Amino acid sequence: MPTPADWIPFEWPSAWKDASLLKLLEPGPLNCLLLPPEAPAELRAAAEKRFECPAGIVWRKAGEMNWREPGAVIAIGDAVWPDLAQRSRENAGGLEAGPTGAPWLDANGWLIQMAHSRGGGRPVWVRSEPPEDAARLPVNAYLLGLHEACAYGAQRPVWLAPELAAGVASGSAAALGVWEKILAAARWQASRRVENAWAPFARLLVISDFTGPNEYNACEALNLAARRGLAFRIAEPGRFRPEQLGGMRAVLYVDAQPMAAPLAAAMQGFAERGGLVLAMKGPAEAFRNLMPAGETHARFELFQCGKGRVAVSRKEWDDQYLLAQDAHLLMSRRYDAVRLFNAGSLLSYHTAAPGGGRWLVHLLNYTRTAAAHQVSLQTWAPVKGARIYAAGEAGRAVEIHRETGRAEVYLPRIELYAAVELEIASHA
Amino acid sequence: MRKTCPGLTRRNFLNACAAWPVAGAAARPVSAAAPAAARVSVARCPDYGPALKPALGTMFDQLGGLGRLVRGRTVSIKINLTGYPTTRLGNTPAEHAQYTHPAVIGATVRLMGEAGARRIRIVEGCFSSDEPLAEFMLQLGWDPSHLLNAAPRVEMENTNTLGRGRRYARFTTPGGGLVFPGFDLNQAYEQCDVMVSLGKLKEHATCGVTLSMKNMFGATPLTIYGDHAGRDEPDENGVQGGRGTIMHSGLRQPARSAPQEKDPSSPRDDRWQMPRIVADLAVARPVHLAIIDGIHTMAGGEGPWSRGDLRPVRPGLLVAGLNAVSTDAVAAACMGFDPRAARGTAPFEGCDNTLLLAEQLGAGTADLGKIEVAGAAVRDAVFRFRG
Repeated sequence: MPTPADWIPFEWPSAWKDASLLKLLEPGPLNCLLLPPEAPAELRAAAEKRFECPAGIVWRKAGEMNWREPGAVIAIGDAVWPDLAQRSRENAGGLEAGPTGAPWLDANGWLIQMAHSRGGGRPVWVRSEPPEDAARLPVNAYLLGLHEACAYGAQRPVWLAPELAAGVASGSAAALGVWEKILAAARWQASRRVENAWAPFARLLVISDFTGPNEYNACEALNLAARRGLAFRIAEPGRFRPEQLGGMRAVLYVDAQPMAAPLAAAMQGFAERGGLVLAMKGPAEAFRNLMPAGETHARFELFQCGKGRVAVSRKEWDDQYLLAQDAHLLMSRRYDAVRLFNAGSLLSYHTAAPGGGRWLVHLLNYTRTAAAHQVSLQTWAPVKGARIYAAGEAGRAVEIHRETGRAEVYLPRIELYAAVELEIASHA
Repeated sequence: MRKTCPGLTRRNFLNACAAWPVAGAAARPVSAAAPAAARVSVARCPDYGPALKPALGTMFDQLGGLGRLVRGRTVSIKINLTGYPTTRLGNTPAEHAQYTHPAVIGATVRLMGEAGARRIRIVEGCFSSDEPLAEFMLQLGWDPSHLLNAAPRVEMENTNTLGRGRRYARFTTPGGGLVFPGFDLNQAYEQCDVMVSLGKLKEHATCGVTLSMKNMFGATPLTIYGDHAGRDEPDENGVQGGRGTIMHSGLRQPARSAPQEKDPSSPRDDRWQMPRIVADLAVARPVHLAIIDGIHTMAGGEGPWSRGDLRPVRPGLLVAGLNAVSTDAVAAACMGFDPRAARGTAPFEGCDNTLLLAEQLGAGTADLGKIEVAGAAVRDAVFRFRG
């Protein structure tokens, strides 16, 4: 029997009353059905014979989640439909753009990363309220939602708008075509589950308890860090382990409260060994032996601490965009492991295989249409080989273009999702 | 080869003198720059490899020697990093298309260091950014430490803001200017003995060509001239976007603390406005040394965002001179253009000729017949950007 980590869930449409419709699932890979409470007994019985049908899935908003609560999965019910924020606001009668002019994106990667970190290793599922125009939802909207969750090692239960569900049930060729594409994408992602579970590769550790007054700052900082391509890992003060500092160049301690003594000691040691710690004044009072660093910064006082630095915010965080930017630049882009060119509304998520010999850079296109521009991926790491896994396709080797000190891969047009696997020559 | 320097008029000489800061001017008359104001050196250089530094060294020798210009002096080098650093022409790295190549920057810095420059500051008003210039370069995948270590006392500054300074430096346009009677710029453009424009060999949508003169347009700080500039005072937090609203389109004036447009009723047309602003800058903040990287570049426009037949090209050329107008004239000729072409003629099909406007302001001559060319002859160096 598959374990919860193997479940690939499907939200059984409430209008599907007939058990014969279960045959639609026969090609797989959907193996877990979320049956509506009103599902007929005959249907339920037939489904339970062939599929996992967990009854205890409780969907909660991320802000209301009890992360320690026992359960088969972490089920977050207030994720967003991945999309250009501008498009969704236009539909709602408004517009939004980022401070740099780059479009805001409605994306869930940061949320899934946080859930993985706080959920203690349990599988993470996300879902969203149906969009306003669900009846006209294009197939790529379904597929992007599926690919986004899988890229971050999570699941978004396959959901069908009522109109689409009716079409599938009635055998409409158009509806069945959409259904087949969804199943094919789910099948393809299921074949990538091992790689999708690789851990994030990052040089920045964001520490927060994500509760009370800290929640907004921490969540927005993660969201905006992801948008600017700043890779991060996450830790909680109460569950911090010193080994979480391995490979890190900087720590962003988001919370306003003082650090507990063991965490403060770890931060002190991290800075003294050459790391950078960013914190507000209160928590920064824990640091000892600080010397003015002789650098000026509009929003931080900078101190030398052993071989490293401590950046103390002049005031409480009130602009998370600037907070993410400051964390990135004070740490330095020198530590960006990969860079993208002409990426537009592509978001990347960088992971590494256990041992570090292989990197995987997930690329998600929130426009849902193949970009007109050619996109390049660059790294300073010594790369031996590169393969690309475009959605629905077998992996294939891609040429590495080398210039002094850097290697580049020229990417094909990415409509929704692709992953670039890099084989790293030395990763000790 | 002509041995005279007809481009050196009294007006040119005075303009060149005005470029030196007060203290520097008192200590060091501009003997190095002014007599050879119209001499321009052209060199063929196929790539950014080992041949680059010797080629540049020879060019500087042909201009009278770098030591005469920079020894014991502070140098500011304005480079060209136009547009977002992550924007490429296809897969072509920006330094092979729209940006000054770091190898040219590095070789120039190294040669200046060897020639005894006291301090070298690499400057640029990075597009839509108040980030440190080094971080902007890192976003490109460049390692700025290679440039910072190319000579003793090398610094970098993004001049979109006050940066290290406490006030903006006022540069007055001699004669009142065509659009702006003056400009307020970051102090890096004032606190230097030698101003270098290190541009790229490209066409330009609103100026016809972007060479060493148009490169200096990026010196205007976004806090005053940017799309989100302050209304009354520079807005040090307003560094977003480009310079389209004020400088290209004239939809509003710069921050009131800076010199305002002479005639806000003049055409609100960037092809009228931009060539004149560039010409104003050429006399308000003249350069002592113009260097143009035309080894690898792009044709059809100034960046990947341009409209037209955009393509990466490899002219394999370097052009340098002590007068920006003359240097740009020779560079335009090397691109296959008539540097004195009238509006309506390539590359000035839709705009006024920036070179002639600058010439009219006394910034130098664009007349090839009056310019002494050293190194490769123009006729042998021509790489046609059109046709």
